[in-house]
Amino acid sequence: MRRREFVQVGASAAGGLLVTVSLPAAVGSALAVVPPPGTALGAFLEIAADGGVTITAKNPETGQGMKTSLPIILAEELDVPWERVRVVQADLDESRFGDQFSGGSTGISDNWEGLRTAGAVARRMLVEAAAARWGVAPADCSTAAGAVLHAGTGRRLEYGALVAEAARRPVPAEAPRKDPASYRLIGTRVSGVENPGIVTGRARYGLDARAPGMLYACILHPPFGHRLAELNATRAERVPGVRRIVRIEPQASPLHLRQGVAVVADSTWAAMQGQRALEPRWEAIADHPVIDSAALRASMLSAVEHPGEPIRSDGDVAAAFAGAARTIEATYEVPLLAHAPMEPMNCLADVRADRAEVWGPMQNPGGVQGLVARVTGLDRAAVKVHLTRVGGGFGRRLLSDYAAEAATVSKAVGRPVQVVWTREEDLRQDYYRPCGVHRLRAALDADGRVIAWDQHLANPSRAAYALSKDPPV
Amino acid sequence: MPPLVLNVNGSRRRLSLPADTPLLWALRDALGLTGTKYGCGAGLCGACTVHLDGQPVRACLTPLSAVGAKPVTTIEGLSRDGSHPVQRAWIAEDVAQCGYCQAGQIMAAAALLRTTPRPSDAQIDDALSGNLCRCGTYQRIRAAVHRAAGETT
Repeated sequence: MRRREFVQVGASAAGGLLVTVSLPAAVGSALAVVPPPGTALGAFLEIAADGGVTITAKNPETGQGMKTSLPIILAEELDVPWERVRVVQADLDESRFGDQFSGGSTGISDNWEGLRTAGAVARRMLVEAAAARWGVAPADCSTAAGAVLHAGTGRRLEYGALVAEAARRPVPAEAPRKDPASYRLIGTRVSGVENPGIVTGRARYGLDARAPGMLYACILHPPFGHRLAELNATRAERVPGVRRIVRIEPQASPLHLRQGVAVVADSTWAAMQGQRALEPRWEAIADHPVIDSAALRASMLSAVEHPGEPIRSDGDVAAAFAGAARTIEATYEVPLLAHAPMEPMNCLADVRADRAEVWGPMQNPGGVQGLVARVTGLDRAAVKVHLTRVGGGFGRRLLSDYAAEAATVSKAVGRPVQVVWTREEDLRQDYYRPCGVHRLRAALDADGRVIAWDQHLANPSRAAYALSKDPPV
Repeated sequence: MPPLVLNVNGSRRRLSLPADTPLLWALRDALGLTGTKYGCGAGLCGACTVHLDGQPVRACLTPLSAVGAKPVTTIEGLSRDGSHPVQRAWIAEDVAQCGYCQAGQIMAAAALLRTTPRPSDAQIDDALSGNLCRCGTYQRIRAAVHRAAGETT
């Protein structure tokens, strides 16, 4: 079900025009002047008196282009030159921005309508302000490149000159959107907003986050199906720079936090060397489920030979195959696969008695806030979350375990701590992408056209696992 | 432990670190130059590529004892203002997706163009095969290298 869209407009402290709109998508173009209490507002747009446009990117940027593409949608409808737009990354603020996660390929589809509306509303209000000043009808005005024009008299006003008046106007009932045929930005290649920072090494990723007085921690996790029976940390503690060893005990769900040993040091290198010097004794957890890749594969290959649960069934597939001139069969498999982003898991947390602050690469900042609150015992409202640029998400960073680790260790040592996973840990201890088998058959007619398509797919159910009351540890 | 003096991006930097510390961590943690990235620590991904005396090296496997007084250039020092032809080509071709590997890619490409001003696709692949990109921007990397080569020759 889609929510109504609500737009709120006001004046900024510097005399500019502020527009916020709730997301995701609206029903039709209905707008309310005053949103009902509790409605989340988002899509922050500010037009300054000098014509400069600031657009807030509310979702994390993982390389999917969100920090550029969402602002483009807004700028298109607002009809401003892209060179005038400055994009700033939002922190977590769900009361202002609503959902701020990046995943499931939902970013554009979830935000498309709301962003178009925000831009269209702002443009409409600027047009109305100009029309009022000129004493003409808004319908006789147009916009181009950040200015309102009146063709009849050749008059022109830059948006910056109109923002103060526009901010005082009521939100219009109608805000026409651009005809896609007239798009100037959408459909063109726009260079990523952070490219200059990336090519000069200035762009900050999670691993680049820093806080005064911070320490660094490197984690070792038990092998799958095992727990820590005994730990000899003597050699680790002797590594120059190592300050403390912190044991992390698991939450009930391994999706939240698993057992681990963190070596805390005054540099990343010392922490990594300390982690390598740990001498743990692991013991197998009794009756722990076994993941047998070969057995999984065999059961999936078998499953696709059987009817299964229909997801879709159109027409008479059997008849089409029976009458086919030719059939093609192919079986596609994907194994359990490590996400392997170029930036390994990491997070910086600063946990105090009454509040916490987190900086890191994440896809679900709301989830990070909730899990950090849970493992520290703080209220959600006391946990501030900063979104760094993300060196690859691929779904792995929808989980928040690395943030819970950082919060747990910071709380234990009373300093800001950046937890870093080595590449070895990242590959060995990933929450692997599910394996799967797809068996496809196609029926072709005498002209080689596909007349029937039969697809059987089998894979472990991630949703069933996540929703189960007793997920295996 | 006696202080070491490194020559990084044209500046002398004094450090008190063990001589077996990898250059990567001296740059990132001691000198605050976080443009050079950690991807694997084993010389397998190329994210940590810097220039040592003009040659591309993996900083994660280069101990400070091997650096000595030789000039080190990191992504931050490739140009003062992003104006190196490779950097400009990377922007013109919109190469980056997540961008985490790109500092290493750029350093490797810049080193290649010094020795091979007009590389073929095969020469680019050969020189940059140790720089992994999980987002798969390889076609745009190749296009950007050609673009940079075209501008400088």
